[in-house]
Amino acid sequence: MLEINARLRDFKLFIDKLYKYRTISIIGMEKNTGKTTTLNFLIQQLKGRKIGITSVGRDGEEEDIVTLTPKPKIYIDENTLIATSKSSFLRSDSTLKILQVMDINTPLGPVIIGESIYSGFVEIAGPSINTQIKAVIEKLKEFKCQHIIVDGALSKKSFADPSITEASILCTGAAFSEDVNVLVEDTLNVLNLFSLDAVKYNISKIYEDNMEDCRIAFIYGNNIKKSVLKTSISASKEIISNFNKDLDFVFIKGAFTNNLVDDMIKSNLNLKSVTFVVEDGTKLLLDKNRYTEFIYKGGKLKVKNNINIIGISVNPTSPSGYVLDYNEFFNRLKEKTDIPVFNVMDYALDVRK
Amino acid sequence: MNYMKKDILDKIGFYYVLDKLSILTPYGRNLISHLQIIREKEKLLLEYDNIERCFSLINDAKLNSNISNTLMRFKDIRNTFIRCREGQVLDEVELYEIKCFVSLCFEFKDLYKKSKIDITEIFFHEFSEVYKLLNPLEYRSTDFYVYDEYSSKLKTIRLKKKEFNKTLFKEKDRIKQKQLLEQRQQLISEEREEEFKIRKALSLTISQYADKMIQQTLSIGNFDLIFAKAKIAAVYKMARPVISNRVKMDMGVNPMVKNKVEERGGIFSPVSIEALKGTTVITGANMGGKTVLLSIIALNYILASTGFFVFAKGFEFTLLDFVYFLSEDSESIKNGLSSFGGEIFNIKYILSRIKSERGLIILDEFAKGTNPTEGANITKALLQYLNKFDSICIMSTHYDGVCSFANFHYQVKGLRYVDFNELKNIAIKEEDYLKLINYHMDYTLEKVDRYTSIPRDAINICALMGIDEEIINIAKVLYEKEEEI
Repeated sequence: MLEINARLRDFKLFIDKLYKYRTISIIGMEKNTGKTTTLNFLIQQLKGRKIGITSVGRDGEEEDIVTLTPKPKIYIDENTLIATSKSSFLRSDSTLKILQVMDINTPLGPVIIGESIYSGFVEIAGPSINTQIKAVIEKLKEFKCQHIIVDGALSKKSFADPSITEASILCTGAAFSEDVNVLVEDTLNVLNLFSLDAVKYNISKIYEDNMEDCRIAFIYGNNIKKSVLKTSISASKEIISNFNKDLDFVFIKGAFTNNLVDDMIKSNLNLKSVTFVVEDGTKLLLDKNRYTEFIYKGGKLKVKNNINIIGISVNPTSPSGYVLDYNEFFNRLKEKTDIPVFNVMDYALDVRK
Repeated sequence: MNYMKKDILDKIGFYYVLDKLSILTPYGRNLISHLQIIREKEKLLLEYDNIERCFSLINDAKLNSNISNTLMRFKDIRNTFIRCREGQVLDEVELYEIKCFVSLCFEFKDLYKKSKIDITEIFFHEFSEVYKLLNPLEYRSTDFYVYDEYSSKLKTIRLKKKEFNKTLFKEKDRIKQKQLLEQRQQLISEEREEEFKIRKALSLTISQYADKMIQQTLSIGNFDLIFAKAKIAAVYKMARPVISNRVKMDMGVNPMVKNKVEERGGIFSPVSIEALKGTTVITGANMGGKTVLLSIIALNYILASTGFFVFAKGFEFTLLDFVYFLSEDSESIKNGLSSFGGEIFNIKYILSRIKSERGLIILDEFAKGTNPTEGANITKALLQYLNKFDSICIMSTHYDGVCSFANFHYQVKGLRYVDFNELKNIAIKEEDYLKLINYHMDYTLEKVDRYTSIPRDAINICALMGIDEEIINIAKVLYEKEEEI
């Protein structure tokens, strides 16, 4: 009984927060961690308010192309706005009114702003470029949406910037790991990385002004050296060779990886005097051990943009059908975080085909 | 435009001018990329009239901005019109875009009527039926879907779907839910089928308007282009060309060169010239703007013949069959010819044309790539020969004695009245030489006697730009010897 109260309290806290933000994105730790179920769940929770939905790239297909698990479809009520590419728009079975065809093109056609006249299922495939997602969000605001949900945003591979939305929801679950211990640890690790301190405004400005066209940059006092490397994946050598006692910051646009940490530690660099700056927590592809080791050696890691996680959504069922012990997971997670945790299956309507 | 080579058009600043045009519709942009020379006098005069008619609109800030905003919203859906004409069934988005198009046409028509501009080429087809077809509602709307109003059957299916959605979510049993979803899918298919029938009927009726809609885009594009021509004419205070039997330019300007000169703090001097049938030669100091002058004539001539106003205070021109601007040719080197070889190759082409056609032939320092004695003689011969034809030829040259073979001779005043001894003492930085020359150079053209000799400004320019004094001194001795002879 006590446990249920704790869960309800947490849930209420989440709903209170949810209502406060106009733009919300959904981040998945892994495929099949219930992102779409979470989206459907949010739609239900925000019933009665005017919602707009879009996504970064494609989402809401009938079947996950990668894992071949049946994917839940996005279900919208009447008077809900969606921003999706033309071919997804035409495949949706909710009866949709076209409000506008935007001058944004995706591989699936131009982005259409539609409003549901009759409820039904929709397929959402928005643009993948930051400025375009921003434009779509602005357009949905123009059409008076009270809440705008951006689905599929900020996967580790996406270049979308979390600052496009005011708040985010992290989706985790058995798809990521069926071992409760591992899942708790990794979820906390991700939360930890997402909540890293942001750099001060002046540093953030230097980052913004210089990183448009480059992947790695080195800041020595007032001097900036931009690397010509095309990707940040094989950045180790470049970083190690530019390391000296005058180096203050290393700006990285792209992933900050386990390999990079290993290479730096192997070459015995004095990490203490340098701060590494990445765009946001989604770019940190670090497991817990590497991160701990990095910090232990005096390494400093900051982000340009914070991610404001207002809730952790859990899908206890894995694609193989395994169901993890949600109670245990909930309790273990709550020992370490104040962020509300909820099981979407407790509240969601299952609309799998 | 195949009237002149692309690199020449670029060099004389024609594309610079096109870039400055504020074209607002995809249809106008399409016309710009297929810009044609207008060969009929009446049509040209009408085009100038049209530009003038638009001036009143430019001065009406509110109407101007309303028309611009409307034009900017037109999208390029000509492929949809073509698909429709071919009898294809349009999808919802295409039907929406056609509804937008006809609505915008209404909006534009109202604004156009309000402006009271009357341009013959601008017409409006009647699309009320198309709009009514795509708006079965009792009120005007800008959105679109296959409305319930199209068919009671459709409405019934959709209401059923609505009911189904409700029960679907009440059902917690997974197996029953699945069955319901399957039944629902049946309804969706019925809805799609009915929607298709409606779209097919709509597309069929609209297909009768497809040609008219394509014509309408041309009409809108025409207006867009004329409006853009008028706007640029107003901004740059361009002049209306006059069609006569000569080329006469009063205070002509090249906006591209002017912009560059002013960017580096200089002043651009407009130039005037008159050229009749036969040959006109321009001589004068280095850096005296001869090439720029030729480019202004070519640019304005082409603008005038494509129905634009011109960058001058006044511009008279005669309708000719072709224009040819020949300057040092980079193409020839690519083709394995020397620059002289390239020139001769092109001259041959020009000579073959003037025998049966009239052209404006502009030659920038013809034959400068060969030895001066021979170059001068060939140039003299060419001038004498060209005088026999009805074409107009304007040529710049540094060769002595060539002018006497031309009908007319213009000379850049240049540095004639500058005291170089005084200038030399002003110590200046290297980057200022250009400014200094620009400041002292008199770019004005003077009509001079055919036998007027060519000014000796090259040595002064060398001195001004600070070449080693020893060279200047040796050269001066040589000059004096030459005079003694």
